[in-house]
Amino acid sequence: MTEARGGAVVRPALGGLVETLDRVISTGAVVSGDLLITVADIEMIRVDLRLLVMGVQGERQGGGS
Amino acid sequence: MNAAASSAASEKPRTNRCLNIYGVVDRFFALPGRTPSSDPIELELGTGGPVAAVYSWVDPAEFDDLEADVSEDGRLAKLARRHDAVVRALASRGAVLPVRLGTLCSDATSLMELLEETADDLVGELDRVRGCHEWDFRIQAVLQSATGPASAPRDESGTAYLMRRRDQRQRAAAAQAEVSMAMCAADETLTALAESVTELAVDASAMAMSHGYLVRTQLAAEFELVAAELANELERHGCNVRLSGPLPPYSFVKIRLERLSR
Repeated sequence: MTEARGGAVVRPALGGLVETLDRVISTGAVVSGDLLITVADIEMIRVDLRLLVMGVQGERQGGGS
Repeated sequence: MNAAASSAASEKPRTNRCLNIYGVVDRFFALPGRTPSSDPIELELGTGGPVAAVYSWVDPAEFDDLEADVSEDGRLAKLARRHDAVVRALASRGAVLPVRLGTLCSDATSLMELLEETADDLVGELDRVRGCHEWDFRIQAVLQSATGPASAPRDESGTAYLMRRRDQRQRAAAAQAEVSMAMCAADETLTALAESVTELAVDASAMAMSHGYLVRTQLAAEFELVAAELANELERHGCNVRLSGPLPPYSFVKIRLERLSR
């Protein structure tokens, strides 16, 4: 993958955790309905993860990283 | 992947196991031999009509209490990176509709029925992203302060002070307008090279633009070159710019799959 920061192009293998979480949780196809198992309720997991991402992001910004 | 594995409907649910779905692909998709992950998993293909879903068997308990460790090496991070790595590997081999992290299915038969019931929509979505990758272009302006330095020359008169402040505000407004125009121009240039554009989440409090562009593979090199030039230009305007790609079409798949019957 290519990433250009301020015009300088670098090629990291994968993005950081927050960026990766943002993609795999906030985007993509969603399956809903009774197909989902209830042991790990997906809707709840997704909601929790959204909050989690915000928390991680806030923590990182606060830490200056 | 072998032929037996591709027939998901014939798989029997395993005790305390479920299917973790990564993406939807064409029926005869060639799965990667190995997953590009530090935690290799066995991918299987569950077909339903003209489409198929790529999954692996997991213990649903893997998704419990993820909040307990949100570190870079925690369980959540590993699950997210594994999911992303699989979706990227699939996207490098053909059209894929990424499925959100944590999408679990109780058994292969239910998955097959879901695919069959939603096949028309899935085929349409696959055709829409076929031959394309996503490129994300994020701009954040670092604008100069409208107030400038608080301290004024000791002998500055009231009139001089007001004029200096007015000049500062005008310069800041002009700089902001210039940056705004540069952002719009960059977006127009990149949009011309893309099949589709979508707005990504941004910090609403900041002067920023963050768009995802769905770009045909044949135009990827040109897009990357143009985007790098635009990034340099925007940097001269005091912006921080980040270009990411090529990515699976994460931001362009907004389909919601739901079984119509059971």
